Amino acid sequence: MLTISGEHDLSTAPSLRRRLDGLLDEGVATVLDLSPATFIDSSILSVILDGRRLAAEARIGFAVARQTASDAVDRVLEVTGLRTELPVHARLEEAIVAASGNGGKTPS
Amino acid sequence: MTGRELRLTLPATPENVIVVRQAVAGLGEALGLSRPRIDDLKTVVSEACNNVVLHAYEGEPGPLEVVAQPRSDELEVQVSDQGKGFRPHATDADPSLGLGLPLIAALSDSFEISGGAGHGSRTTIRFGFVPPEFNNNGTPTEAPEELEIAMTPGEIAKPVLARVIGALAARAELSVDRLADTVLLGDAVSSSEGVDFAEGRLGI
Repeated sequence: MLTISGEHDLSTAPSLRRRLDGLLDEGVATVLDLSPATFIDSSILSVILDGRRLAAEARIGFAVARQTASDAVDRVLEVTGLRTELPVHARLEEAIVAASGNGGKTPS
Repeated sequence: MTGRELRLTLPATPENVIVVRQAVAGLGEALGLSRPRIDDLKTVVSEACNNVVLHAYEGEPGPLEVVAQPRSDELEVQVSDQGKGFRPHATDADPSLGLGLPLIAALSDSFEISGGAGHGSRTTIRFGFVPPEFNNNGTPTEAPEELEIAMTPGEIAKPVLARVIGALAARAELSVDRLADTVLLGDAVSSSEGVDFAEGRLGI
């Protein structure tokens, strides 16, 4: 489980990418929980999309969760269509089940 | 500078984008913008700043300049640099231009990019206090069933009509003979000023 909180943008995207890549390199099915995040930009969306692609190529479970729906993060997910495309699970439990079912080690 | 204008000049670094974002959000609050509108404003301004940070100076230091000017019913934000301007990067793995500009387009009322190679670039964003109509399901409002072209009669008519009719004919995969007919038709239409067609329309 990787949880990001607060505002994330170009300045934090490299560190998120490193952490996500690290989990996927270890073959760990990963849930990215965006629930506590209050802002994400296109660089963070890019990290998420790259993570999904890497996980799919390696046949590792990967899912995104967002349990709240009220601010800039949700607006960006809606406008880009990524809430449906990824998809973004409205319940953390659903995301864990989705990631577990896609292969890889159990989400930690 | 007017009483409510905001100007920022700071190094174009990733760490400074949040400074601009929060400053402009503060201006939005002072202007009485709603919370969702301020969220949109933060996203739009951040993406414009990202473009400067990522592309203007190619890793060298340089200034990021932001001017936000409230008007009667909108906020105009200019995000400028003195760098190399927007350039295509066919091998650029950096995605900001991929999602950034569409985000600006979707969440602002209008935007434009000016400048050129070696002259820096300026993104001007107009941000209405009332949200623009946003179609969440992506359904087009209404697509026209016919092509309509309006132009002033005269010298532009011939080349424009000839090319449009040629393109339509090619798309219809007409035979060579019929294709030749359309070329003649295009020439005839474009050279006949003031010709009246049924209800002002020409059917092909």
